Amino acid sequence: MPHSTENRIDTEALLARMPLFQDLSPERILELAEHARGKRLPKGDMLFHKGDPAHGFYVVVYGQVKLAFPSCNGNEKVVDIIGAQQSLGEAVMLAQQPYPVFAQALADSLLVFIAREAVFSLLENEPAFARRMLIGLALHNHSLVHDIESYTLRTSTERVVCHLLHHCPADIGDRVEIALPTSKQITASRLNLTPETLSRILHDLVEAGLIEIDGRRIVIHSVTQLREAIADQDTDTQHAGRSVARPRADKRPQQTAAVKSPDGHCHAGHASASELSKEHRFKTSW
Amino acid sequence: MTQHATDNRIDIPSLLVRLPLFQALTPEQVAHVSAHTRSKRLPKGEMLFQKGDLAHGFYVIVFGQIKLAFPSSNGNEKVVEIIGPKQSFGEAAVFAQRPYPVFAQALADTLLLHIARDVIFELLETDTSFARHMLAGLAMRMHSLIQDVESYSLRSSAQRVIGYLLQHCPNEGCEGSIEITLPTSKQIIASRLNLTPETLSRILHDLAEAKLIEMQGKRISIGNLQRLREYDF
Repeated sequence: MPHSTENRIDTEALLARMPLFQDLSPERILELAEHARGKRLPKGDMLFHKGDPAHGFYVVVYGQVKLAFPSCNGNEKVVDIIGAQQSLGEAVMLAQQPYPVFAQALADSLLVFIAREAVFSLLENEPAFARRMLIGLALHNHSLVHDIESYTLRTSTERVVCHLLHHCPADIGDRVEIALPTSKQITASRLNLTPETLSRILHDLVEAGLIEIDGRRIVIHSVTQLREAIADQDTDTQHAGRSVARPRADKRPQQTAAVKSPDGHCHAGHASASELSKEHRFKTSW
Repeated sequence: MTQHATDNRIDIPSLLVRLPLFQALTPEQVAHVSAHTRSKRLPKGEMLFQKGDLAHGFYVIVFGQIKLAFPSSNGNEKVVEIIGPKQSFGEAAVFAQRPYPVFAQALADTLLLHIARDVIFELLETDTSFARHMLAGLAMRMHSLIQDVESYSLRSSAQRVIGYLLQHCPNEGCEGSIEITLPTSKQIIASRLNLTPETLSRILHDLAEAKLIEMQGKRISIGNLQRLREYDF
């Protein structure tokens, strides 16, 4: 895919600020900058399509990019939302596979594209970089496994609550105000829910006095209570199946199961992600 | 974490060099890795680790089969992956420094190698081709996880079953007819595809009725791959 280079973008300075490259010497950064290009992507524009070959990977400087599967009935499935300082496409580049998803800007975005050759040369010469990439891929691997757990074993209410808890900053107290990073429609797709189900669950949580909603801002009155709410849910779901995700049609997954992991927490890859983001502020993607 | 009793009868260095991940290593490096590798026999049905256990290294299967799955409170576990000979697992838990997100249980009598994390990190420092191999392995694993996410969220049950059958063709572009052997029981495959065993049976039955496949226990013959690929629901 052609990338229009913009001279006004100082890729060297951008690269130097990225956590992924923080172990590199200024000389290496300079070398890397020669194989990197800035790319502006207006809101709504496509970065790549599913099936395109991957010649490198991207880091988001500012803005937001959605990764999703297209589907023939137009109901795309959002897999991930990549924000500032996060990267996308490393795994696809390393696996030498075509992109399994498409990428589209959700906001006006600035990205840096880093060519595969430059990455391979760094991997040859900089063990610290290789280690960072491995850790990044491993963390992303874990978060995908947790997504799969969530789709297959959690009720819709559990998914929504876990998503809210995931956005809570760590160690800030029990009452928390968060801003959802994107629209409810995209959040719903990310959680494998219909927008109607997401709205209904948020409404139920408001009715239960657990949260307050004001557009994208959500106030969680008590993180502890919210966490306990899904722990209590086991009994509910056994009786009425009220909060069980309903398949959208008969062709949808069969076991949109009403069960949850026995430990009853959403901690794994998710709640701990805020602590994760302190250590490794970059996040990798396929 | 389970203790790993080393079995003296097992020649670890010669097992290691047969694994793609370690093929590029020098004999000295192999000797060093071997010193930090333990073999472990796991009888069918036994647990290797539980979800939430800490990872002190990763595993490679010499022979046998391991199931990675999520436990669930009602006993309906969800199988995430089935790992066979020469395949490794647990690398992501080592590098992410996270507890295992799944449990691991032997589906058959299995022999495993456990490679300690310290020696992996040492190799990463000194051997760039090892780092590249590890990255490529993790990247491929992620690629297949993402396909699972697509499959669970967008594909019908029949599409998932056909996709699974086609995956077991020896090569991607193969045409004509083919016979495959399912690697494990239908119950485990159903869980792997996020289907109930009844749904899987019904779909296989429908495919047999439509003369697209023929079943004999775990052996399935596909008369015409192209027709199966194009089968419309």
